[in-house]
Amino acid sequence: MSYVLTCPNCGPREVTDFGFGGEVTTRPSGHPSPRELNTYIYFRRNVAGPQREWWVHRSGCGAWFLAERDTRTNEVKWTALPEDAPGAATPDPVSSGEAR
Amino acid sequence: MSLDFLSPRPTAQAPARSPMVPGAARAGAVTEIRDGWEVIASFGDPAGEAAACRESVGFADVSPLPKVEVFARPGGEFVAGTATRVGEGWRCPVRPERTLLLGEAVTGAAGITGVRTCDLTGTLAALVVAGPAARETFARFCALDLREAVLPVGGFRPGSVARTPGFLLRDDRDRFLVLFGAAFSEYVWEVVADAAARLGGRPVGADSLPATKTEAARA
Repeated sequence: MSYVLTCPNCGPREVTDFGFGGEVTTRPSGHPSPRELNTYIYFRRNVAGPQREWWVHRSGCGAWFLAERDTRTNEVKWTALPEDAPGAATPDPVSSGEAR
Repeated sequence: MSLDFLSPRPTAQAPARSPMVPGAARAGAVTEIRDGWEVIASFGDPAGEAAACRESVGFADVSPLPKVEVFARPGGEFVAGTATRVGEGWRCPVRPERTLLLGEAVTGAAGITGVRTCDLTGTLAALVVAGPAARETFARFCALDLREAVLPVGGFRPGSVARTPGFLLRDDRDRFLVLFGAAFSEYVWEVVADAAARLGGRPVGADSLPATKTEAARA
């Protein structure tokens, strides 16, 4: 299945131009417990719906950027460089406790 | 596949060699040593090569083109997708902090201090695809939109070319420069040759390329 993603630098390209970097997570700070580390490394929310994700324009400018994509329809709501991205809306699995 | 490259024979000259030369040699390329590179000068038929570029499409290996990547946050505004002509070369913005300098523009990198530069001349191979059917040729292996309204002269597009990471620059009305990893050269040469042949095109030598530039590009 193919769809179009918009690189913040290069513009719209077919999705095969890009590499998927996985859903956005938050690295645990301070001195995380083994359980927190394990959750951070191995657990994902894997939502059926809008999800904030990392992508890299592998075949183009090489930039890493964020996208919000509906995992059910592959509709991409927005893409942006990390510094320009809208406020975080995706709870991470560690702090939300969903992955436990 | 030949393993001759594992035991190179010493010669008086050791020119740099584009990985496309073997494929071109099978098509009858005549090579010459120029500025330390083995350059595909022609394919022994200057009239036929000029005619291909004029009437359908011709493609030429221009890998010896100097290419330097500069990593710096420039003072000026980053304009994505638009290269700036510098003499006979181009300054191509890839990202706000990453710029590709081609040809004559490379001399501008010599005076730059305090930023990271990387010579990509041997890393990136280059092809010029020229002629009225050039856009149609690309349409067979590349999804980039090359219509003149979308990609005018000076338009620069990092993106996938024949399923390999590359850069595409429209350096004249019917003339495109495409850069890609040198390791993919033989494959890309074959893909382009295949696409061009179906449109009446053919490989041409570097000596045929100046005639493919319009007066505006020469000025």
